[in-house]
Amino acid sequence: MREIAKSTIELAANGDMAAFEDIYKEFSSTVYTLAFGVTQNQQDAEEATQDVFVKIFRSLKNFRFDSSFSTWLYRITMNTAINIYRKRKNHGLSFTSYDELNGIQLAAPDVSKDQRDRLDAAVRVAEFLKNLNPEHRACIVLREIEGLDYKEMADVLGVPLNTVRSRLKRAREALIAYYRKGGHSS
Amino acid sequence: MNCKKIEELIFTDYVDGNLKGHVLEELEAHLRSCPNCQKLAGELESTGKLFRESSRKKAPAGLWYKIRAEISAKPQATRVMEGILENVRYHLSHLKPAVVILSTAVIILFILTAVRFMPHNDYSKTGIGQDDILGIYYMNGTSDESEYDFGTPAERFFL
Repeated sequence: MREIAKSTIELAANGDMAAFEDIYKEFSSTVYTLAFGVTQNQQDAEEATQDVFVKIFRSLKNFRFDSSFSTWLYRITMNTAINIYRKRKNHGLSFTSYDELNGIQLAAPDVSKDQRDRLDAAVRVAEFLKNLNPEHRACIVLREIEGLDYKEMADVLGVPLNTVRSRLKRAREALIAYYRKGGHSS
Repeated sequence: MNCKKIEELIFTDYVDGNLKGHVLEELEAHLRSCPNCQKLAGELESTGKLFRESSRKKAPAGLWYKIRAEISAKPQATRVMEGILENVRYHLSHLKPAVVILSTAVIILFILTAVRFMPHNDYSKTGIGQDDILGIYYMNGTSDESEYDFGTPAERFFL
């Protein structure tokens, strides 16, 4: 997990917006990627990212450096994203569609082959993730995209190591079942 | 190790690179001789690669300005309160088992205290016997007979 200088956090905690902007620049991509991984919806991921940074700013004064800043940030991100996903589920869930994600690719015809491959992978990953519940999505995204180890994941998710292992196993079983069906959701 | 145990390891510690020593050697020897487990390991490698290639997403342009506007809009008191609540929520979620045990202990203690001090008619401590209690009921006119008095002429004649 990436970290940020303690002095930057302390400045931001005292209301220094330039320092807080540095934190935003360092972590906004991570927060948005994780939130999208859980919600599978662009608007929800944007709402979650906004909520996370507002919460972080208001809580910084109370941050005591007992845990790492990244663990704290990842944890708030996961809780916020899962809550938004659940709220949305109760009011009619919508995912960013395969076509919408493909549209991003089609709207940029001058992208390189490497970028195109990455967009293709992103589309397939999004399709994979829709088959999982939010807790399993959180687990697989933290592991596969953020590269956290089991201990870090347990700290972020607030669950024992064995729970991390069993959630990962179930998520991957579902992914393999989906992969064997041909990789397209019904 | 049988295929079931091997599969469990493939799904987690093997693909995540946590295995070492003789366990890893045993698993790799099994993979060389078992096409099904070999296939599973290959598929997991492919799906994992897809995740790694999917690239990180950038937060939407302009989001920082929305965040800054929201931060500036709220009064300081609200900010401090929300900060404290978020912090309490964070610490409580860390201490879940301790909170559950403490809450249970408080509830049990409350029930025991309530039972101990609850007022009840313990006549044995007042020296009044069972016959005295019946006498009190009769003197107060709370016997079964008075409850069935409907005031009819037949009742007036006999009573």
